[in-house]
Formats: sequence, structure tokens, C-alpha cells
Amino acid sequence: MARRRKADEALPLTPVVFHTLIALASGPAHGYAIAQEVERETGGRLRMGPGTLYGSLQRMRDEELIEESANPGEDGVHSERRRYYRLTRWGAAVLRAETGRLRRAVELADGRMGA
Amino acid sequence: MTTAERLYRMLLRLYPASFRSEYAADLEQALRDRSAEHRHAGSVGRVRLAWFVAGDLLRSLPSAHMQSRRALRAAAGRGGGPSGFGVWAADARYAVRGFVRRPGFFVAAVLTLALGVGASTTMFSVVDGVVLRPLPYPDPDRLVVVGVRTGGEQRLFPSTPPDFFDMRGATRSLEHVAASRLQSLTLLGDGDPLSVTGAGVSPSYFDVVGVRPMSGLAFTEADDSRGAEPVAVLSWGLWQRRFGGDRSIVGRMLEFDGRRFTVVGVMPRRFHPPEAIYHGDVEVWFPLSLVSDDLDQRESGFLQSIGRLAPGVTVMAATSELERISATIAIEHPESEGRVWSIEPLRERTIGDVGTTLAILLGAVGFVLLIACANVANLFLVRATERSREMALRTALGAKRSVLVRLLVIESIVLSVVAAAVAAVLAYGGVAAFRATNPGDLPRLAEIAVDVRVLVFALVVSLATGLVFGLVPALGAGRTGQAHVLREGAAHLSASRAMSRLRSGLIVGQTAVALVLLAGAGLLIHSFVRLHQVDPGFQADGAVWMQVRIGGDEYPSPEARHAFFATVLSRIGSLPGVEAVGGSENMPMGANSSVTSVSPEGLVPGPQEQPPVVEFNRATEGFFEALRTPVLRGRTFSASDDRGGEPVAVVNQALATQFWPDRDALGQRLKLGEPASESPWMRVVGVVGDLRQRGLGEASDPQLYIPWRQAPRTGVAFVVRSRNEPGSLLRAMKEQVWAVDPTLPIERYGTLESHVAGSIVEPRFYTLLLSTFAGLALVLAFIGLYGTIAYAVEQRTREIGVRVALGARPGDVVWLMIGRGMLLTGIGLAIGGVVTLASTQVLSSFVFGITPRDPATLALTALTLAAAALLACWLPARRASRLDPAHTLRTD
Repeated sequence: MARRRKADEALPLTPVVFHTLIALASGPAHGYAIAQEVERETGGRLRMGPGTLYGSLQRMRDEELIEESANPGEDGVHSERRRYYRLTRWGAAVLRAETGRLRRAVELADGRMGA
Repeated sequence: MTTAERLYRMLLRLYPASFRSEYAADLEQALRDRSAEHRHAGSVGRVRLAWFVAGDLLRSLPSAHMQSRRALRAAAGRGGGPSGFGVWAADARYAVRGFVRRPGFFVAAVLTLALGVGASTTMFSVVDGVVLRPLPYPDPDRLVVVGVRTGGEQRLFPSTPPDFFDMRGATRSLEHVAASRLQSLTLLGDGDPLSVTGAGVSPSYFDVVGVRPMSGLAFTEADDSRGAEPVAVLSWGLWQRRFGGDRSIVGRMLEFDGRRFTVVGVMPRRFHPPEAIYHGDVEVWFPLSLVSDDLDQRESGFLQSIGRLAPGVTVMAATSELERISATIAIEHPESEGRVWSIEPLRERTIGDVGTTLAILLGAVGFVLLIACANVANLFLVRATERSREMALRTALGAKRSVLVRLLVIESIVLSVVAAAVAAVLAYGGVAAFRATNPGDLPRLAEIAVDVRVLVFALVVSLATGLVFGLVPALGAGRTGQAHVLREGAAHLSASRAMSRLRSGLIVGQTAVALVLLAGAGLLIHSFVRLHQVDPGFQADGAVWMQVRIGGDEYPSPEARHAFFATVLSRIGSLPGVEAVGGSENMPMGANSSVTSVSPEGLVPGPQEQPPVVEFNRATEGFFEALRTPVLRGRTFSASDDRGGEPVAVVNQALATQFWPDRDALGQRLKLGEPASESPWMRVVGVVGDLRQRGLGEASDPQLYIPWRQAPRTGVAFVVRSRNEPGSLLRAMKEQVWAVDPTLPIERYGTLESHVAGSIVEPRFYTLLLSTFAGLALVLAFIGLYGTIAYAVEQRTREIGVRVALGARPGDVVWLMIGRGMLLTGIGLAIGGVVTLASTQVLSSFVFGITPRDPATLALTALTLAAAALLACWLPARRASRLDPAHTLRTD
């Protein structure tokens, strides 16, 4: 249902969703790894606590931006107990659309400011 | 799992269930990961983490809830219907909407239930605090009162110190045993002299109770030796009251009875000394040997002891060990022969016979609850009848019976929970009122409180009654045939025969129960009136009293005591407006009364006969005048009846009649003790009216008064008759006492009227309580009957219309409606009457001046209830008689 919609209609994304999608773009990750990755990407500006993290993961899953994936088996001792997430095709499309929108916005702004 | 993780797991319950079931484990894992990262961050880092997690929780909660609600709505939209909790929530919303639409039923049911549950909850918290809750000590079941039995008596008596030390040295079944000796002391300095109750205790006292001072130390064996530095431990209450909780109190010197003690500790706030549970309060503890110089005599016993059973030792085993020890002691010390050490669980001693009183009150309040339940059942029956059409319609449209039952269950639960909340508020008020009207004889009053246990009690009782008395009748109603219900016109719905019988049964039952309660209350009220009419033997209004005690150490000689009190007496007598002043050693109706054996001249007792025992008091001149006790013969005491004068006595009417039934008592002689005793003959110079010495409810025994001036003691209760305002008079009296000796504590004083009222505070309290319950019962029974008849009138509107149209007069209609209500009331009264006659015997120790089956009281009670019933029937019946037949016939 949602997949037939155009990805542009899901925009703009909240920072949490956007950075989660970016974190998952390089491959499946478990919840806490996502939070760590987002924190690193944003230079510590976006710190997600457990509630925020899983609340947003649940919403993103309901909106079919991400889905649970099998354990890729690369993690440590507790890895089998963790749940892994990866981008859906719809999620990837939305991420691409958001990135494009931002890129256009950046180009526009750069042009106006004469950079 | 760490505490932080457990706490987090608890907080996770704030999230919606769907989110929790999906992610709880992940959330906990994430927290663990984070804290693993912060492991080396120290306490600052941990606080920061906690702050972060708390903020995260608060931020993410709203969106999680919104999300779950969206999901529910989406699921419902797909036609599957909500499931699990959602259904119950939906039903609850439906129930609330229904109640809001018809608030009459809801308010009536909630209030009825809340009154019943609130009253029971109040009584439950009292019973819980006094009886059910364990005593406030570690391992309270191992605590025992230790004492000696003599001459086959059941009571435990205090022991002599050497007997105690022998027993303590020998026992193995008592892990610790401590002696204590209560005494009243005066604390000087830091304000007015204050009289406090102190206890000299052996050092193991703190091991027995298992509570140590919260600041400072307990006593050591060294403190309890002769010549040791005097030390004291204060109660929390005294520390707060006198020293404002001053932290530097430990180490300070305080002066008690002119001796200086170093404060070494303060007991914790929650510590209730076991002595205080059945004696008042103890505010300061001293090592026993510091305040006793008579610890080596084996003649008189004054040590109260408590002990802690060794682990695993039963009361039986300890008792038999103590018996063996007693036998051994008696062999070594023949003077201890016949004193057998024994124990009694502290719990039994503490609660004693208030158990019976509380059981009666709990029973009474249970009756109130039963009546409330009958009303709630009645309300639900009416509602079920009214809704039988709705239910039938729903069933016809395919609703499953289980769905309908679920709806009814939810309705009952919603109603019960609201009622429980209202009941809890009522119970808070009730308990506060109970504690404020302190009946005086209840142990552990301070422990009575509405707490979680009590609230759980309220909720459980409320839910149980709501479900049983709400659901069962509703279900019974639901079973009537749907087809039949649907065919009938809505206005003609009449309750099925079974339902109507059930409702009649409820009315009969609640009338019977109400009668029993009212009869009990009636008996107590009648007793109380009788008690009030008792002539105390003096005129209580227009007089005040004040107790003054002096220390035996400061006033060692009779001359010094005499000088002090004679000075005070004349100083008070010269205050402006004083009409009469006098005093006696024991205040009439006070806590103390003395008895003595007395021998009238010429009476020769048989060989085994003991001289008669009479009440005994020392009175000053002016005492009977200040009390306005009638002087029947001769004179009262004068200032010249002193140590230099002839020994004289004044007796009361009862003594005069007992000793000299056929002679004039004036001029007769008697002496204290046996005829052969050393004491001097005293000549009777006056006969006064009987005075209730021990309280309004206690008979006047023979009384003997001797002049206070001939045998001065250390205490006098002054009685002053004056037209002046009591408050300023009492202040002026205090100033006069302090002008003579500024170190005396004066704490017991007041008007004579309130003093007399104080002697009946207990019966007044129980009368008030039982009357409140009976009043509640009457109101609830009234409402129940009123509701039933009003409903019957509504049901039979058409029939009444036809009757009136056919020529029935309004009076006929009224009697038609009243007749049925009064028939039910009559049956209820008959059943209740039988139960009352069989059960009021339990009140026999509470009634005064009447029998527990006093016919006048019982008849009046039944009449009151019948009158209330008549009114409850007449109000709706009158409405029926005013119905316009044309209108009622048109309504269908």
C-alpha cells in the first residue's frame, strides 16, 4: 500500500528517522548499534535513549521503512539475543529522496549565498 | 539484576502493553549496554546516565502511547474488533457513559456501597492497628511478659529484685530478660517543671525489645552498677517536645527529681515501649540500680519483667522451665516459696479484652455493610429489570452471552472502584475522628492508620460486594426469556416473580439486621442516659480541681508536708471570689482510690474473719463544702483537727448503715486495721452523703475519711468552688502553688464537670460509635424500603390508574402500597426481634442500670424502625394516590 506512494510524500524526515536510515544504509545493525552510529554520525548531538530509539524503530517498522533481519552473525557473544534491522526497499527509496531533497536545498542555499 | 535495572523494568510498565511486549527486552539490553559504557564514569557519570534515561523515558512515552492507539484504531478499522485490554477499556468507557447518562442509579449505588465499605474500612483499620498487626518489634512473637503467679491466681505479679536476678541467672529458654520499674519524676530546667513517666530498666531491656537508641548508646552493664555515673535515654517524644529535637542532646546533663543525669541516647520515633502499650507512655529510661536502692529485699515485689524467648523455644517449654527454676529458688530462699515464675505472650497481654469490644464493633459494622449490600443488590435488580429489554434486544441481534456478562462485570467493577475510592476518603475521616475521640482504653492507638493494607481491604470488600450483589441479580434477570421480554411493551415490564421474591427477601433481611443494630445502640444509649442521671454525690458545676504532688525527698517529714499544703490551702482560699476550698488525697472519680480494713469498736470478728474493707481517703477542712456533698449528721473536718487534736473520722451514709444499722453513727469509734492493731481509735464526728469515688458507673461503697492534717501525705487534689471563670481561676491557683514552691509540676487540673465526664468517656465513646452505625443502618434500610416501594408504585402506575378510574379513593391506594411494605417490615421485625433477644447478651458488660433485654428499649427500637418504614412507604404511596387516572392510562 505504502510502497505505491511516491517517496517524496514521506518527506521531510525527522532527524532521528533520517539518521537511523543513514546508519542502516551500510547494512543491518541491532538497536543499540544504530544508536551508537547515529551518535557518532552527528558528533554526539543526537543521543537516543532506549525509549526514543525503540519508539522510533517501532514507528519506522510500522511505516515499513525498515524491517527485522536475520542476525548477520558478525557480532559478539550476545548477538543472537539482539534484534537486527535493515532498510526495506521503500526505506532506501525514502532515504534517497530525502538526501536528494536536502542536496537540492543545499545547492540552492549555496548558490544564493554565493559560495 | 541491579537495583537500577529493576527500577527501569518497573518504569517500563508505563509504556503501552503492545510496545512493551515487543521491545521490553531490547530496552533493557540497551540500558545495560549504556551502563556498560558508563562503567568507569564514576558516580557523576551514573547520575548523568540516570538523568538521561529518565528524560528519554518522559520524551518517548507520549509518542509510544499515540502510536499504540493509532495501531488499535487501525486494527478496529479492519473489522477484527479490538482485542485484549482494548475490549475491556471500550466496555469500561461504555459503562461510564451509561452511568453518566443515568447518574441517579450510579450515585445511589456508589454512595450506598461507599457508606458500608467506608464504615467497615474504618473499623478494620482500628482492628488491624490494635489486634491484627504484629507488635512493632523485631520477632514480636518471641516477646513475653514475665512475672510471678501466687496462690493460683491467673494474673502475673511483679517480682522482688532478688527473685528476678535468680531467675535471670538460671533461665535458658529466655534469650534475654529485663526488669523495669515505672516511676514518675519531675524534669527541671528548660521551662515549667514537667512530670514524666520514667522506667528504671536493666541493661538487657534494649536486647529484649530488639530496638536500640537511634542516636547515642544503650545502657551497658557498667551503667547499671552502684556508684556508676547517672545516665538516661530519652524517648523521641520527650526529645521533640522538650528539646525541639536538638541534635546536641546526647551528652547533655538533665535534672530529674533533683539528680543530674547524662543523656546517652534517644530512642527512635517508632519505638513504642512495651510498658506503654498497657500503661500510658514512658518518656525516659534509667539503669535500674540508679533509681532503686531497695534491690536486695525479697519481701515486696515491684519489678515488671519482659523477656525474649530463645529461638525455637515455645511458651509451654519456657513456662515449665520457669516452674523448675522457681522451685529451686524456693529451696534456697524459703521466703520466695509460693511465687512461681511464669510468662504470657506480650501480644495477649497488650490486646487483652479489647478484643471482645472490637469484635462487637466489627460485627456491628459488618451489619451496616450487609444492609448496604442489600440496597446495592436491590438497585442492580431494578436496573437489570429495566435493561432486560436492552439485553434481550442485544441477544436477538446476535450478541453472545459472554459479551453481555463481560459488560455487566465491567459495570460492577467501575462502580466498585469508584465506591472504594469514596470509601477510602470516608475511612481517612473516620480514622482521624476515631483517634481524635481517643476512647482512653484502647492500646496501640498511635498505630491505627489508613495504610496500604486498609486500602486493599476497602478495594477487595468493595469489589466483592459489587460483583456478588451487582452481578448475580443482573445475571438472574438476564436469564428471563428474551422472546417474552421483547413482546411486552416497555412500560409494562414487570419483574419476574422470582426477582420480586428476591427483592422482598432483601427488604426483610435488611429490616431484621437493622433492628438488631438499633436494639444494640438503643441499649447503650439507654444505659448512657441512666449513667448520666446518676447523682455523683457532689455538685459538679461551678468548681475546679487541681492535683499537686510534692517530692518525698524534698519534704521528708510530715511537718514539712503539712506546712506546704496548709500554706497553699490558705493562699488559694484567699483568692478573690473563692467560696470554698478543700482537698483530699484521692480525687473522687480519679485514677486512684484507696481501701483499708477497719474495725468498729465492739465488733468481735470470728476466728477466721477479716475486718471489713472500706474506701479510705484523707480530706482537709472545706473539702465537703467545696464539693457541696450534703452533711447528714454532725460536722465535717476543721483546721483544728490536726496532729495535736483528737483522732476523728467522717463516714458516709453507706458505712454508717453497714456498721451501725440500728444506732446513731455519731460518737461511735473505729480504728484502721484489726481490733487489736496499734492504730488509735477515731471518733465519728460526721456523716456525709454517698460519693461516687470510682466513677459514675461504680456503686458507692462504704467510705471512711480522716483529717488530712492528722496524716499529711505527698499529694493533694484541691477542689475550689468559685463563681469566677475557671481558666483564670486555675491560673491564679497555679501561681499560688508556685509562689510556695516553683519546682512543682502541675499538669492535672480542670473543671469538676469535665472531670466527671471523663469518668464516663469510655461508655460515651462506644455508645457514640454504635449509635453512628445504627444510624447508618436506619438510613440505609429506609432508603432500601423507599426505593422498593417507589419502584413498585412506578411499576403499577397503570393498575393504580385503573383502580382510581373504577372509583378507588386515594386512601385505598395509599394503603394498598403501604400494605406490602409494612408486611415485609413486619416479617423483618419479627425475625430481627428473635435474633436480638438471642444476641444482646454480648452487650451485658456494656449496659448500666438495665438488663440487656430491657423490654422498654427493645419495644421503642422496634417502633422507631416501624415508624421509619411507614414513612418510607408512605412517601411514594402518597404519590401513587395523586396519580391522574386519565394520564396514567394514556401513557402507554
